[in-house]
Parts: sequence; structure tokens; C-alpha cells
Amino acid sequence: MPVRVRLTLLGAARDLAGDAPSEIELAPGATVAAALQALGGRYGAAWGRAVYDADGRIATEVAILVNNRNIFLADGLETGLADGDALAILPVVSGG
Amino acid sequence: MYGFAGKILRVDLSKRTLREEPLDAAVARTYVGGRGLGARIMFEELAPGIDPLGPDNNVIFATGPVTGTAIPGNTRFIVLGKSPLTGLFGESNCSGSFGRELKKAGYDAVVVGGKAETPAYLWINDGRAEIRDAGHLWGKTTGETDDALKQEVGDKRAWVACIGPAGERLVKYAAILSDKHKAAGRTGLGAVMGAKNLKAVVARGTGEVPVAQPEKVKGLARWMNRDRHANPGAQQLATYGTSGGIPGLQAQGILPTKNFQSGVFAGAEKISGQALARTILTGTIRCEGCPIPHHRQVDLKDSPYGPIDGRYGGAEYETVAAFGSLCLIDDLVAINAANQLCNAYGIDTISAGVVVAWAMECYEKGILSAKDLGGVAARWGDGRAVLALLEQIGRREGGGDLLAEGVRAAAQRVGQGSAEFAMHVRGLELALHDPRGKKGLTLIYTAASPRGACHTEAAHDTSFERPNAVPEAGIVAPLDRLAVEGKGELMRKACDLHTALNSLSLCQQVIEPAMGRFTLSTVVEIVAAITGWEDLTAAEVLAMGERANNLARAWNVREGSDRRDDVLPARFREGLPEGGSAGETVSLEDQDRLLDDFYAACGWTEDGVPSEQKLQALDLGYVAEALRASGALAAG
Repeated sequence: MPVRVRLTLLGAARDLAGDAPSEIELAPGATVAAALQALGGRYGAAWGRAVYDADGRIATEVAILVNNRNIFLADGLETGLADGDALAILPVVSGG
Repeated sequence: MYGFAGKILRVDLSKRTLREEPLDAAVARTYVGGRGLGARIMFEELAPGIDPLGPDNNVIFATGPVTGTAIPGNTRFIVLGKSPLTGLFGESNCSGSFGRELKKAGYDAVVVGGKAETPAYLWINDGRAEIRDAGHLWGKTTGETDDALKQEVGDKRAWVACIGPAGERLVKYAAILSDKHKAAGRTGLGAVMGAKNLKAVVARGTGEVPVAQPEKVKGLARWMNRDRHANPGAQQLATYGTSGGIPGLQAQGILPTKNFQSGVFAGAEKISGQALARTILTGTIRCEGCPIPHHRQVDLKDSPYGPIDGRYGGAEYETVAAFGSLCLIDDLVAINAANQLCNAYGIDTISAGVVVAWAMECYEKGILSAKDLGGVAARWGDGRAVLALLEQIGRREGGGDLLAEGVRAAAQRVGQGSAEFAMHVRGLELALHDPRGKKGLTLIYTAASPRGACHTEAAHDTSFERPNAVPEAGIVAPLDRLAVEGKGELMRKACDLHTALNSLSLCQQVIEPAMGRFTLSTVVEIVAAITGWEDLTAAEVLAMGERANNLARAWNVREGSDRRDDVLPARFREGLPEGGSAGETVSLEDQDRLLDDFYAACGWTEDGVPSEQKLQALDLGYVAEALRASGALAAG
């Protein structure tokens, strides 16, 4: 059974994926890394510029949440995704 | 001395005297600039208990070693003095080129005391300073004043820091405006200028800030510009401004809404930076040398609220949320009209938004009537009501005389339970961030901030949910934004770091070690190249911040403030009703735990007083002596 994950994209990721589906389908046992890879495949090189820094790490201005919790509080990019989970990619904000 | 002009200008408006004093090299390295230097001057020269609006108070304009160099983020200047809003340590941080001009004119800081007999302004021009008459400017808006002064001094490249009618009328949260749209807004230092009959300070300098390694500084500046352009966060900031973060705050349920009754606003998308960019945004503004044009500009020849003059800029996040979600207004035109009005009158938009939201809640609950509010029916979501109340505040007419005192004083006067939803800490109205969804923000608003509830004392919890956020400061392990555990130690480090940036006058939007790729090591490299302090370390940079924070805290302690004032408004003990942070509170137990941990991490007593040992370790023995004399520290 494929895993269906609800998707919220904001910030640079949203700009890129204006027509983003509210759900993506992944293979069983999928992780956040797999979800990012799938989205990267869909949006091409620009996806990298929206999510990663010049060293290829998740940019510090980008937060990736699974079920409203930052992935770095779980297993980072290896955080598993189950059917019905909510994956969000948001900008980090401290105001201004 | 590299990185410094080497002089401080002293102005006594009562005696109409000006004198220069040298900036000692050891003082420069220890206190640096900004808060560090300003707090030292305040501690040594402002006696406890003085009237913030009396001649004994100072208004201090301080730069730092980075100000006026080629480094992106070099335009900051800090204004300090005793706050008429809180009665405690007052400070506000501003961008634009006023600080650059001041330093290029030959001064690291200007300290203005006394009171002019009649309205005056200070003209600082390449090492010469004079006090001039400003009688013809009294009553004018900041825009009119800015234009008139540039014409009067005969140099369009002069930069003006001035007050508007609100500062003249001693509105307790009056701002100081520079170039019409850049505000030193917080803590009411515009009213301190007004009380001194000081309408403006005008600066023009053609000198160069001497740097130890010019080629290295240029190289660092080039690299920083390139790197920022490649960064997704910087692109977002340039495209959407700070209010581009609104959808993210909404998604996490922490967009302050209806006077902090909720963290979810139905109109969030309509007031976002993305919506602004699609609709009424007419331009962007960048500071000198900065790669990120994040300041917004809205210029409308006509609108339902009259023309909006683009020279007053455009509303940025704090202002958008203050007059938007906090007051249930989803109309960007109304919000930008409010921004224009505040900038023209010289009013802090954050405090004003919180005061207006409180008035709206009072109106809804029947505590204040339209009659009390100068005929304004202050209904939630009514943009015209907001604008009418702002006009009254700026002129201290109608209900404005009450609201101009700030939300704490207004609630004390009105009573009837309205203090329960007066959103302030130590009298400073809350910035537009909800500590229920970022527990460490509790400390940023209370113990860590000498000013009260300002959001800029440190990066927020969400910046530290990743590993190795600032490894050189020992911020390594990720911490949940909702966790209480570990936040005391984290926030001490994060606040020391931010205050170091403040004292160095490095813009937090450009140099944000917890949010960008510019690390603390980058800061060390920049400062060493500018100043020639070749033995500078990350530990010394952090100690600069820690020293300034302890000095500012000690200044407040000497005024009688301690743990009893480190408390959030009662509303935060109620759970957020909906959204991504539903049910979250900051209970009194949470607050006690956070304070205990923070004080321990700082080396403060359980009452929140910097300890003798801590002060001695920071070379602040004279501060310990003063606290002993005041009884705040045990003798011996």
C-alpha cells in the first residue's frame, strides 16, 4: 500500500510549487528524504534552491515539520512517514 | 583606533554647550558600542529615580565598530535613555544611514542631556556640531521635518533622526523616525526628545571609517553579498519582506490574533507579504551596502483612507500583525494607512497596535464606550476606527490622551479587569509573537530583556529546533519550540549573542547566526578585520553581549526592578484555542521554571539580580559596588 502524505508548502517551496497537490503518494516505508526527493524530481533544480543552502544542507531558514513537529527533533531526514501524516515545509520566522 | 571614529559628542541643551571627548581604546574594546557603550554611560551618569521626561535623562545615539563600513548590515544605530513608557532601561535599534553619517561625521556616539528652552535641533556636519532653532518645525510631521531640514542644511545626503507631533506631545511610545520610514520605535525615546525640546538630530559626514584590513573587509562584504543571494531565506525576505512569514506563523497557530486571544486569523493570507506583493506593493527599499531590499514601499495616490505616501515606506511584519490580525483587520490598505499615520506622527507601531487592540477588547466588553474613545466605536476589524484612534493618540485628543500613556497605565486608570488583557511586560507592549507557541520567548520578553516585551533580544525557539544552530556558543542540541526544559541555558547564550551583534551594530536580518550561514566565526572574522583585534575570539564576542546585558539588568535592578517584574500577561496562562499550537499555555509554574533556569545560567541570584561573582568576572566591579550601595546585593 502506498503512503499518502498531506502536504503544506510555504515560503520559497510554495512559490515554486504554486500548483502543489495537497497530497503526495510515496512508497511504503518512505522517509522525509524520499518525500523531498520526489518533490525535487517534480520541480527540478529550482527545488534545491528553495530548500537547501549552498552546501546542500537543509537551509537554516527552512523548517520541515511532520505532524507539526520539526524533523530534527525526530530522526531528521530519516524521519518516517506514515499514511495520513502531515508534511510541512515552512520558513523559520523570528519577526522584524 | 580602527573601526571607531574615536570621539563622543556631548550636548547639554540647558546650557547650550557642546564638547567632544575621546573614546578610550580600552572602553571601546570592553563596551564596544550600541547597548554596551550606551548602558555604561547610562549606569555612570543617570542617577536612580530620575524623571525620564526631565532634563536629567539623556538620549544617546550610539553606533558600533561595524557602522559605516562596507559590511552588509552596517547601518544600525541604537538609541538609549530611561524609558518614559516603562520607567526602566530604554533602547531602540534602527537602520537607515543616520548612524553611518554620524560616524563618518566623526562621532561614535552623541549624548544629549538637559532641556532646550525653546525647540531646537542638532546639526552635526563633518566634525562640527551646533544647536539650531527648530521653532518653525514644531508641530510638523516627521516627513515635513525631514524635508525641511535637508533643505535647511543644504545637503540632500544629510540624514535626519526626528520626532513628529507624538514625541512633542509626550506620547509615551513616541518613536524617532529616520528617512520617514525607519523607526527607533520601542520604549518611547521620541518622548524623551520631545521633553528636551529636541526636534531632530541631523548628520552628514564625508569621512571614512578606518578599518584595519580594508581588502579583507571588502572581500568579506563581497562574499556575504554573493552568499545571501544564493540563500532561499534571503530571496524570500527580498521578495515578500518580513510579513512573508505570516503563512508559516498561521500554520503553526502562533499568529497573534484578537489581542492574543488566538493564534489563527481567518484573514491571514490577505495580510501576508505574498498578498502585499500581488496587490499594492509599489517598491522595496534597501539599506546602504545591504543585498536584501526587505523594506516595503506602498504608494497609493488614492485609497479609501486617502493617499498613502510611499516615502513613509510600507508596513512590515510587526506592523502588519499589530494592526492586522491583532485587531482582526484583513485590509492591507488600512494597515498601510495606519503605518503611514504612525510614521508621520512618530508613533511606535507595535505599542500602538497593542494599545488599540486593548481598546477594542474594552469596547467589546463594555468597559470603554465610544464616548470614552473620542466618539470612536472601536469594533474589531474596523480599519477606520484604528485610524481615528491613532489620530487621537498622535494629538492626545479625545480618548487619545488615555491611550497615549501606554496599555499598562491605561488599564490601571480604567480598571474593571482590563489589566488582565493589557498585553505588556514591564510596561512595554508585546511584540507580535506568542510565547505559548515558543516557550523560550517567555525569557526574551521578560528576564532577558532589559526593555520589556521586545522580540529582538534573541532568535526565537523555532531557530533552535535544528542541530548545531550556533556551535561556537555551545548551542548544539535541537530543542522543541514547545519545551521548557533547557530553554534557560539556550536563551542566555542566544541573548548574549544578539546583544553582541547589537553592540557591534551588525544588523540581525543580515547576520543571523542561528538562521543563516554566517556563523559566530564569521562575526569574529569581520570584527577582527575592521578593528585589528587579531586575538579576538568567539568567547570574547559573547562576553561583550553578556557584559552589556548584565549592565542593563543591573541598571534596572538599581531602579528597583527584579524578578517580580519578569512576568507575562495573565492571558498566556489560557490555552490557545485552535490551530497548530492548540492548548498551549505558559503557566506560572512554567514561568518559574524558565526564570530559575535562566537566572542560574546567567549567574544571577534567585531574585534575578546579577551576582557579585558574575559582575566581577565581567569587569563590572563598579556595578557590584553600586548594587551593594542600593541594597540590591548583600554587603561584603
